[in-house]
Amino acid sequence: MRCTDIHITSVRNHHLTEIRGFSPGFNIFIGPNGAGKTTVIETLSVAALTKSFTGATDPVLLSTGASSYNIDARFLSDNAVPLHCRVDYAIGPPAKRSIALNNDKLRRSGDLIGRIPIVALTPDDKIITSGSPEERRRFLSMVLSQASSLYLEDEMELRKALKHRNSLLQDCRQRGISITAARQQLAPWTEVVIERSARLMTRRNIFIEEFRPFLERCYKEVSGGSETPSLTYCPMGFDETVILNDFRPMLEREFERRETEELRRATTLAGAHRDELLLFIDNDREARRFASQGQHKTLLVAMKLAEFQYLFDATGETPILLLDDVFSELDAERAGRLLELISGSAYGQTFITSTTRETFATFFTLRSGEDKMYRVQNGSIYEK
Amino acid sequence: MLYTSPALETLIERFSSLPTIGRKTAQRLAFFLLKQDESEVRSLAEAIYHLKERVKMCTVCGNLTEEDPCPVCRDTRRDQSMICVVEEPNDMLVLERTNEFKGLYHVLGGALSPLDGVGPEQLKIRELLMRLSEEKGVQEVILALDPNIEGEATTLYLAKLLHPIVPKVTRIARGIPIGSDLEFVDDATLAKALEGRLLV
Repeated sequence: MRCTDIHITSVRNHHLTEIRGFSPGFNIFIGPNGAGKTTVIETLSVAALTKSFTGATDPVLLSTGASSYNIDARFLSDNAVPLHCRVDYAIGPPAKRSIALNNDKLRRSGDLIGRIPIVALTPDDKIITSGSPEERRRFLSMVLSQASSLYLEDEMELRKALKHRNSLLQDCRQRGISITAARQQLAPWTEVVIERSARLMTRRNIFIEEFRPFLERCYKEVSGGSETPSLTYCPMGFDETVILNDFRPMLEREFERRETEELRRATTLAGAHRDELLLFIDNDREARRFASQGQHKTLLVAMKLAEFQYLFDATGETPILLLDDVFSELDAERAGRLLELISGSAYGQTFITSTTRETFATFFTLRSGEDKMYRVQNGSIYEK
Repeated sequence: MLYTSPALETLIERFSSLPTIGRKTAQRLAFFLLKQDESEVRSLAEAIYHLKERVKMCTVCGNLTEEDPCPVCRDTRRDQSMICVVEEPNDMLVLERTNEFKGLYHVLGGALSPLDGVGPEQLKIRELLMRLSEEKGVQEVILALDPNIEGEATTLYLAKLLHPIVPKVTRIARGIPIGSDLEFVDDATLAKALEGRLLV
């Protein structure tokens, strides 16, 4: 998949930006901080994933003083099938957001996810290897929902079911009803949570096995060393070697065990939302505790490249790679190796932001006639 | 500040409080009515008033009706051994249009939704259980609720209550709309349809 043209109206400081004829190779955006480099690749992520990789909400994306924004992006699949995605947002009230794919308005935004596979690496992603379990669950969700729409559907339904169930638990605690009465009311919601969780956990378990070889290979490529990273899936935090495919008994047992605690804390304590993914560097040393700064960086880059390879494998479509200001984080050696890797034939279109041309030039020499460089200043783009 | 007649402004306000009606449409409606004959406007006002005055809920099934019990419940030719449970009176109209179901209905008035404060007591579940204990001949209850998480939880809740008292409890299938092409069906529906595949 690659993006050919983009038209942006009123997103952050891009009041009206149009870029036609992106390179199928590297597209590099150079400009000072706050010039609007990230915004360009952010809009690509909105057009492909319905939301920004920065987590910015629509009102944040909207230019100051504007009442609506619009992103119009044209893509071309590996088989040269055109895909036209248009995102419109208006503040209202009521706020309105619509997404159209090839001029057909999508009923749900989720229907877009997975059509245009995208992998983004940003400085904020550091927390994937060093942060809380939630960050790694978000990583899982990002990869798997692009690979399978059923996974995405199950995850959205689980989130909704958990909200209902937690609200019911709060209600039960407030009214101080007996545990038997509470159990009866909770039962249908417990069942929905168990059913969705079991399906998600099976998918995650299989995913980890499929992802491991990609991660090992990518880590070696990035580090050039002999260390072997690994990852373990811990359903609901249980660090037992799970070779089961039916997570139902485990979920039922957990719900039974934590029943009184759930009522006391008024929150759902069992389910796929409590999963943990452990990352290891060399010989069972957990990355979060033992990895050096450099190892964290290598591991993160390897995770993202493995995500790329996995998505390519699962969807049969080359993902678009977004690298946001990564050279501020990586040392010369890692950055150089990363650029060398992604300029290879296994990778496709890449969007890169960097503060100065020199920073970028130290790592990589542009391929003339193939790569494109753009200068970004105050929300305007100039092709170099 | 009022620019024109308070009566006109009030009506515009009233109209724009209706679902799907914005301020502009409300203005158009009000000005349109202003140009109509008085008899026209009066009959519209009466129709609205009668809606509240005459329409009530069927005490047997929860359907909307002017006579209690409703025409469906009074119709002795209908199959008294089957009850189809739906969320809203609207769903019942849709099912009736198929002309396929000849049994009776029971309208719950919604689905379980703790986030919105809807529990079993807010739905006509007790009425359904009472009805089943009085009408002994019911052989099957069909649960035809919306295919979302709330509908599913409600289905599970009802199934548990109904299994001991009704011989057969079923739920409607989910799948692909007739007359549509497979390639245009959204992925999630297709995946669910694949999951619920049937032997041929």
